[in-house]
Amino acid sequence: MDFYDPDYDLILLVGKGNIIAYRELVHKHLNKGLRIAERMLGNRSRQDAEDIMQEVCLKIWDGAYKWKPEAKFSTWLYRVIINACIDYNRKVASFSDIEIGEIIDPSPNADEVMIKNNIAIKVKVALGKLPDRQRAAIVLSYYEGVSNQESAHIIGVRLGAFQQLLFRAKQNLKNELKEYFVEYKNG
Amino acid sequence: MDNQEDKKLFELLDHYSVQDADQSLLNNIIERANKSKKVAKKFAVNDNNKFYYNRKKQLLVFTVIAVIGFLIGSQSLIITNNSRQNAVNLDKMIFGPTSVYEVIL
Repeated sequence: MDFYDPDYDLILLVGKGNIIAYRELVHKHLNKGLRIAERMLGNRSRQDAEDIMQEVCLKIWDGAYKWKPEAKFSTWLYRVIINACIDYNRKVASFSDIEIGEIIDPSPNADEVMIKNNIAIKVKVALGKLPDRQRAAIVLSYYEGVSNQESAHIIGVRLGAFQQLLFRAKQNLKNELKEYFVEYKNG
Repeated sequence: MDNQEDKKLFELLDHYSVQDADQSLLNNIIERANKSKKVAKKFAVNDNNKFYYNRKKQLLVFTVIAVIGFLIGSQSLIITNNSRQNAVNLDKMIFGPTSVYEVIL
């Protein structure tokens, strides 16, 4: 293993059936994993993202004994989550068929909340319309702050290809949200 | 211009926030793990240094078992078909003065 993996010791303990280590490992990655899953699922319900996280975590528990440190645990985990979401989206239906969830913003001003929610829903829809790998590129790189190198590894492409994916994703998002970019087009 | 557009895009993306996981999800995950029937399997092995993943060690152990099995089996066959003395003589011929048969019995 020529890289440092902060989860290495934990996953070894999980492989030995240590439920406390498992709880710690899940707790450590649950929020990030859930955020990735929810954004990768686009307009689907929060419950779907939670179901996927539960399945992925069970896979970790059942498969930890045969863990081989070929990559960082987190890299492997995010790849599994993204692939599970892509599979799920393909199985269920296209993004266009599904309902738009409500996005709650705790801001006190009602008008402001409405405007912000409106933008949030449009962003959510625009993100949902992106091809899977472009969406994954935005979710990992922008929302989760994963480095380009690691994101490329997670998605399974070379660094150059990942940068292209990211560029195209941003272009597509700008096109979908073009009403907010009018000033730049005219100027 | 591209930088300004990117900045605007990131501002828009910031509006789409998602909530963190609540405690019940973590509890459900732990509960499901506790119920998993595959737990016992995990205790057998773990890292790369252990027997489970060491194919060379596995091969060596199986070879030794096979050789011992062959020796015991061949001795039994000889005893069944001939006299004890024939077995000892044959052993001495193959393995030298100390018969495997004599050592085992």
